[in-house]
Parts: sequence; structure tokens; C-alpha cells
Amino acid sequence: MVATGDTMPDSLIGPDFDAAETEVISVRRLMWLRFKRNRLALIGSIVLVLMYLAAVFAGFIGPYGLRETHEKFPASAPLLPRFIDDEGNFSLRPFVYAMESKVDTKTFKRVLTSNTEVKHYLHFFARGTPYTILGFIQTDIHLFHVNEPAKVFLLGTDKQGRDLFSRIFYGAQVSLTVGLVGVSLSLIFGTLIGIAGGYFGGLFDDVSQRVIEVLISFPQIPLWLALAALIPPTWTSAQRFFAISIVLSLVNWGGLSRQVRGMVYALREEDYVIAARYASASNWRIITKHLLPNTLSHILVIATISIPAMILGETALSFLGLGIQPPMTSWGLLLNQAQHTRVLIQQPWLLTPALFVVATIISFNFLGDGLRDAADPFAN
Amino acid sequence: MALLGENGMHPNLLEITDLKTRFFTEQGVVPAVDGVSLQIKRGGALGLLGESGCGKSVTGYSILRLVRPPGRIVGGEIRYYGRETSRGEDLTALDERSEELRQVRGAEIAMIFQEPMTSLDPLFSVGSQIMEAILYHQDVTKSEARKIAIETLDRVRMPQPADVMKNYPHQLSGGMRQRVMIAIALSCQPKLLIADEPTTALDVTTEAQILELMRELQDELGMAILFITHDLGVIAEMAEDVAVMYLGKVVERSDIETLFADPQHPYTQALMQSIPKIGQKAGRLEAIRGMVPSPGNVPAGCPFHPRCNSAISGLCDTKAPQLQQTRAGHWVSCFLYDDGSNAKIVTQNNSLDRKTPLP
Amino acid sequence: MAQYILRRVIAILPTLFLITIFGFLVMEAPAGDFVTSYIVRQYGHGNTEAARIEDELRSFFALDRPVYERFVTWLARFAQGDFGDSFDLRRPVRDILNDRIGLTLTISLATFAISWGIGIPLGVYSATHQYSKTDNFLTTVTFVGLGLPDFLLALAFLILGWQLTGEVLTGLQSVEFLDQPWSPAKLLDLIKHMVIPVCAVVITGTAWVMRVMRGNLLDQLGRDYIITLRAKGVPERVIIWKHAVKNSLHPLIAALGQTLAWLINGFTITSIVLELPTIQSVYLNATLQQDVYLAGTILILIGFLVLIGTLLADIILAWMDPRIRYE
Repeated sequence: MVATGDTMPDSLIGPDFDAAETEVISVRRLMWLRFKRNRLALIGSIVLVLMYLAAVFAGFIGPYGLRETHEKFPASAPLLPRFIDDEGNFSLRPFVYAMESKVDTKTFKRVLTSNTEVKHYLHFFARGTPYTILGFIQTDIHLFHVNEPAKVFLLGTDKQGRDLFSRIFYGAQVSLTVGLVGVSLSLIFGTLIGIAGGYFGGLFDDVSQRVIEVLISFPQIPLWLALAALIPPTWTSAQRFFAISIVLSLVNWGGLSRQVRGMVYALREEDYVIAARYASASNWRIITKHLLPNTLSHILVIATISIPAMILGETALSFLGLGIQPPMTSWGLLLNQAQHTRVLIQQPWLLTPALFVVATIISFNFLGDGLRDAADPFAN
Repeated sequence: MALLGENGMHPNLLEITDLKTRFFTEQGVVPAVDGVSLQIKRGGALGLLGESGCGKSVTGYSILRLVRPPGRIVGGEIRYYGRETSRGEDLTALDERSEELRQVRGAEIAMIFQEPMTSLDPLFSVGSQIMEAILYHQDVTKSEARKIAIETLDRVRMPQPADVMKNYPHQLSGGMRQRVMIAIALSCQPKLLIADEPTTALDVTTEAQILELMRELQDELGMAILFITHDLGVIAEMAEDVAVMYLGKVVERSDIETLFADPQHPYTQALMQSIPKIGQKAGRLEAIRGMVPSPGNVPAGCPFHPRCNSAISGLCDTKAPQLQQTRAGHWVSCFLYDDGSNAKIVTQNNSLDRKTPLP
Repeated sequence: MAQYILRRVIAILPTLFLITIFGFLVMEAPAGDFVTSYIVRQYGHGNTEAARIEDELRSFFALDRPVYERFVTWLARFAQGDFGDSFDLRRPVRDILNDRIGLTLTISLATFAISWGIGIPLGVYSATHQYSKTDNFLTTVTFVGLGLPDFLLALAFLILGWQLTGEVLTGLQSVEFLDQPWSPAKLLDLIKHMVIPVCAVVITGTAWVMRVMRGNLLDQLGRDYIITLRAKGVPERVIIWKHAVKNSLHPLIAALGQTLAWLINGFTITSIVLELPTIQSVYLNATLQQDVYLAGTILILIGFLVLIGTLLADIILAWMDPRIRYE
């Protein structure tokens, strides 16, 4: 069906073809149709939407707060809700036994024993630790909650006794935005310099090309490490977050800029741009009305494709202790505790944030692939 | 089935019967070739004429089983009498990757294509690409193959053939590349050459040279040619017999003189009127009304009826006409010549519900 | 051809120089210097002595000289193959690299060979059987493989290895073999330790090679010249391997440029996690401690290798592709 955009006058299509038969479709709709056909891309987008929602509502999903410690449960294995009690009775409502932590007098190791006398049922949409959503909505309703002294740690705790499950969603807030901020920065840098270089050429083009050449001569990871080491250790957590985004985009913008420049360079010679120039359109008009719209979809695709590398970059830097610093947390920083093999072997649950990293990267890859196919709707 | 000629040889080299090739796309099934029957005589030259999208090239590709997925031959027979001269063999029955088919391709039936610029592998020298054809079909050494290749290049009137052997495709002009393509096709002396619009991508002077060359070579080598084109001038020059195709079907078939003297199908007539004639007073050229429908959206009844000035309402838009012989060797698929029918003949376009002025 | 190579070599010389400046400056740029970070670390170990002799230390390492002077002196020596001394390890950078290059290349060449060796045939299979069940499966696996960071995989494999064998397979050699001469047992021990890093890195590498190979081969198989080859009766196997694959190697060979540098900087974080005695793991420490000559040398060498790799890739492409050769 005709959506938006131009339709052909009937006389050009011929007598026996009405719109229903020939389907004059706008480019945007064609892109959407192609995108929708790619099932993996659709799955990827759904996973990402869920991830971002979970990040926004981190406080709601996790039963405990970001900095809430449970002193008696350091490095605790997952304490999962159960449906069947020790006597074998089934309960539809999940419950936990309260755990008692004692230090063994002989081995001096901490031992957890469960008190099977009282069942602590899980409360859904119950009040717990207060938190804020998006910085201004204050509430204390959690998806699930269990009354003291019982605890529920779906993914175990770290050595300070903080609930990993809750912290993963707080970490998502950082890990999922650092890529977007980084990509936005490199979009701005890359597009401006790419368009300027490709359109005007000359000395500016030569210099920017040479700088980019040096920049992309270095593989990403060594450069990330070197640049992250530049960030003064005295900076606050929030300053560090932006510094890391800048580091990621500094390494990334060069490639994007090159591609934009290449496209603009080719488009500059297109008939319609030359026509616009002969019609004495200003450079600003040509760039904003002719060049940008024609490169925009490609630019956005390139940007989407580079998000996973940025998320991975943040993960890697924080994992090595060069990225995000406490009290903020990120998936990479959560994984930092798993860096020492001895710790990891005793507490393998510390590796669970990796699953979220991997799921996010794969979803972005699916999405980027779908967008790339859709951006070129006339292929095939 | 035609009678066998002297010494038990079938008079035709190739007989296509009711060939159906379809493309199974996501938008639906496209019947690109829809029940085509053709005969090519030994040493004869058949022209296949039609607008782009009518299925003429797919017919050519079907013979050598070169149709790519999602296209597939779904019915009919392509009987080749080049090896089994009396009984023939059905090419549609062969597996696409079989050794039997491989031995037909290039050696028995060769093909040249529309785009000489992209039809050669850019990474290999012209010589090695000609020799490759020879080495896979003939029991010769490399140096013998080189000799044959140079001879063949010489035969296609390539200047300095020994030097050209070392050249790469990008170093040659379009006309030169098409000569190389012809040399590849001829290197194994095939009995049938399928030429799929071989001059469309070339300029007029080169086109004339290539056509001239092909005619001479046909005489010299005595091979049959299936010449696929949309160009009436080219067909007049190259073919002895002509089949006109429209939307996957053959609508008219006869020898070349008859077709030009007395075109019977309204589509053929319209085609003839759309070319300028020398000696005719300058005036507007007639264009065929409307556009070719997409092959995935073939109108019911006679596929040409929406554009036909003589269409009979209630008949042409419901029933599909069959090929009928109107005189010896002249076949037309149109109700206008259907003597058994009582349909009245409507000459002007008053049968259409909606009319558009001619452009 | 010789002229082409010469022209390209001259063209990269200025970039080489810029890389040297850039590499040196990046390492110099953080606030403070090696002595500052050294004192902080000594302080952490309860040693206050270092802070007292700060100026002496600085002059000992020549860090009291201005940056440009140190750069020029170092560059002059760099050009002669002397990369200066590591502050932290008190050894010539050259020796440190020499010690580690063997094992670094062993792992990286092994991963490179395996991922290309598996990736190319699988990519070809996938492309020639497009939309088949195997192709769909391989394509999905590729996507997942590309999303698995090698250092996280290495950690997962480490846990798995520990649960299966009860051994923590970090490093490249068991302690008992460390100072032993090479023997079959030591070699076996090395191979055992290589399994985790190689497997972790190979998965992403293979996925990448497969994806590129499949995409390009599909593109090539749709070209006109493939039809010509079929029409002249060339066997399908020859069409694919001799013609289509050769034509689709272009981007893979272009990527070889990055591969050369990758040999000494790939899987940096995996190296650190698994405590592999490679150049990569020494680079991180050197960066953190502002061990300028060591970190700078490695960074600059990486930049050089990228440029040389790109040059080599271009030469191979020119040798393979007459269109570039005769331009």
C-alpha cells in the first residue's frame, strides 16, 4: 500500500495497474519491511529493549541496593528460592530458609547452615530498600523481596557481601550507556570532519586524513590502555565515566570519519549535487539538504556496528581496573573481581556478568546486521 | 515428433517442448518461461525476439541448465540430438553438477553473454581462460591447447592473438572482450552457440563487426545458433527462423521473411510499427501502449490483452490462446486467427474499460 | 612492480615518524612519571626511603631531562635497534622483547593458522550451500562467536578446565619445567597450557574469517564470470576454489595488514588474565607504571607492524590482481 512519499501518476504506470497491485512503497517503509524480515535482527532489538528497560528499572528488579552489603554473607554462593521444602512438600509460592553464618572453631572458615524450621516466602511487589528511578522517582517497591533474616541472592555475592544480581542491573546503567555516549561523540567528530574533508578537500582534508591514518595504525586495545592510563586517578566516578567514553570514541571516530568522507567524496560528483551547485545553493544547504540525508542511514549503520566494540572496550578497561571506578559499577568492574584465577575458581558465579556482556554484544551485532541490510533496500 | 532424416539422424539439433522455468521468490512464484516449445535445425539460426523480462534469456540459460536459484526448471523437455543423433537426450533430466552435463557445456553447446565487461574472470589472463575451456574438453597438452587458443583468437579476427593471450580482461575494450568470449565459445567447436544479446552492451560500429563475424563463423563452422535479442534489426541480420516471446510464452513463430512480410500477432505487429523505416515519412513512431507487466503478475487470459488494440472482451481476458498454424511453418497464438471460434473480431480498443491516451 | 613497492615504502616513511612521536607522547602524557608511580608503589610496601631520594632516582633514569631531549636521544638509539632500558625491570627493552617473542609468536601463529585453516573452508561451505540447514547453523554460530570476547571465554575455559582436570592452567609452563631444557615432556606441558588461550582466541577469529569468506564468496558466486565458467564446462569444484575463492580473498588479504601487528598485540587481555609470558602482558604493566621506553617501544612497534603489514598486503594484492598491478 502507499505509505508516504511520492506516488506515480496513473498514466505512467499504465491502465491496468492500480496502486494495490504494484505497491508503490516509500523507501523508509521498504527499509522497515526488509528489517522486519530479518528475524535475528528483530530478536536482537527485543533483547536490547529489555536490557535497557532493566537498566532503567534496576532498583525495581534487584532486591537489594547498589551499595547494600550483607556482612555475614561475603562471597556467598547463590541462595536460590525453592519450591520444595526439606520434607519434600511442594509449595507453589517460592520461599527460602534463613541462613545462619558461623565461624567454624576448628578451621576458622565461615560455614552457612540453613534453619529449616521457618519458611520465608518471597513477597512480590513488596517494599524494601528505597531507590530512585531516572534520578527523580523515589520508591521502595521491588519485584521480589524476602523478609530478614532470610536472604535471596540469585547470583551469589562478592567478597564484600553485595548481591551480584542487583548490582548487575546497576552495572547495566553504565555499561549500556558508555557505548551510546561514545558512539554519539564519535558520530559528531567523525561526521563533521568526514563531511568537511570530503566536501571541501584541500589542506584540511590532507591534515585530517594524515591524523586518522596514524590513529588507525594502532589497534584498539593497546591504544585504549594507553589512553585510559592518561585519566588522572583523582577524578570522580562520573568524570571517569565521561573520560572513558571519550577514550573509546577517540579511538573510534577515525574509521567512521573515513567512511563518511568516502561517501561524501563520491556524492559530491553526483549530478544532483552538481545541479544544486549550479543553482547557486550555499554549501551549508548542499551539505544539510543533499549530502547528510543521503549518508545518514549509512552513518547510523556504521555507528550501530561500532557500539559492541565500545561496550567491549569499557568492559575490558574496567575489568583491568583502568575504567569505571567505585562507587559506580559496570559489568566490567563486576568482572574485575573474577580476574584472579584463585578467586574465580572458588566463586565461579562472579563470571555471570559476562553473560550479560555477551548477550548485549550479540544483540547489537544482530541489530547492526539487520540495519545494514535494511539501509540498502534496493539490493536484490 | 518429426520424421528421422537420412542415416537415422534427427533433422533438429535441439527441441524444446513445453519448457517451464519458474523463480520462487519471496514475493511469489514468477513463471519466467511458461510452456515454451522451440526447434533448432542442425546448422540453423533461430532468433528469439522479445522485450526485456519476456523470458528469452531464461530460455537460453535453461538449455545449459545455468538458471540460478531461486529459479528452477519445473517442467518440459530439452532434447539435444548432438550426441545421440537419432534418439537424443533430455538435458533437463541431467543433474546440474553431473559429468554428463559438464561435457555438454562448452563442448557441445556454448554460450556467450550480454556483458563482456563482467563475463571474464578479472584475475586470469585471457589466454588461460580460453585454454581452460580447451583443457577441460579435449585430450591435449598445455602447449597444444595454447596453439588452439591462438588459432581460435585468430579465427575471431583478433589482431596479434599471441600477444592478446597474455592480456588481462581489464586491458581490453568491450568489443575485444566479446571476441574473447566468442573465442572461448568456439574453442571446442560446439554444435550449438547460444548468443544472449551479445551486442547489446557494445557501440554500433563494434556491434556490426561482431554480427558480421558471427555470421561468417557460422558459415565456416556449420554450427547452429540461437540468437537472443530485443533488436529487430539484429534478428533480421542473424536469424533464419524467429520466435517472438511475450511474458514467458512464444506468441508467434515463423521464418524470418514471413515474419517481416506478414506479422500476424498484434504484439509482433506493434513491435514492427515501433521501429522507424527508411523511406517512410517522418511522423510519430508508434509505441506499445502501457508497460510490460512484471512476470510475477501475468494478466489472466492472453497475457498481451491489456495492451492489445484488438483484444476481444470476454474472450482474451479469460482464455489463453494456443499456438496454431495459420499457414505452413507460421504459428500464431491469438484468437484473431482461431478459425474454430465464433468470437467476433474487435479492431479498436473499445473493449477496454479504462483507456489511457498513447504517450 | 619494484617501482610500485618503492613508491609505497617512501610514502609510509612520514607516517612512521608520526607514529614514533605519537607513541612516545602518549606514554609521556600522564601526570607524573615513572619515579612518581614507583614511589607510590614503594610507599604501599611500607618503604618510605624512595620518597627521600626522589631527585636522585629521577636523575638516575634521566627523567630530569626535558621531554624533547629524551625523545631525540631515544629516537637516535631506536633507529640503531637499541630501544633503551626498562625502568621497572632494569633491563634493556630489547632483551625483554627477545625473551617473550618466541612464546608470543607460538600462540599467535597457532591461533592464526587454526582460525584461517578452519574459517576459510567453513566459509566456503556455507556460501556454496546457502540457506541450507548447515549454513543457517554456521551463520548463527558465527554471530555468537563474534560476540564472545576472548578474555571472558578464557576465564570460562579456566573454570571448566579446573573442574575437569583439577588443574589451574595459567601461564604457559608448569613450575617444574620452568628452568628445564626443552624435552618432549616440557613440550607436552606447553601444549597443554596452550589449549585454553588458543581455543578462546580461535573461536572469535574463526567466526570472523568465516563471516568474511562467506559474504565475499556469495558476492563472487553471483557475478557474471561464474556463469561463463559454468557455460564452458569447468567443474564446479574448480570454479569455486580456483576462481571464486581467489576473487574473494581480497578483504582477507587486506586484513593481513592488521594481522601482522595482531601477532604481538592480539588477545592482550587474555594474556593478562591467563598470566601468559607474552609481550602483551608486559605492555599493560609498563603502561600503568609509565615505564616509557618499554611501553612506548611496544606501542610504536605495533604501529610499525600495521604499516608494514598493510604494505605487504598491498603488494600481495598487486601480485594477485592484475587490475592493481597494471594501474
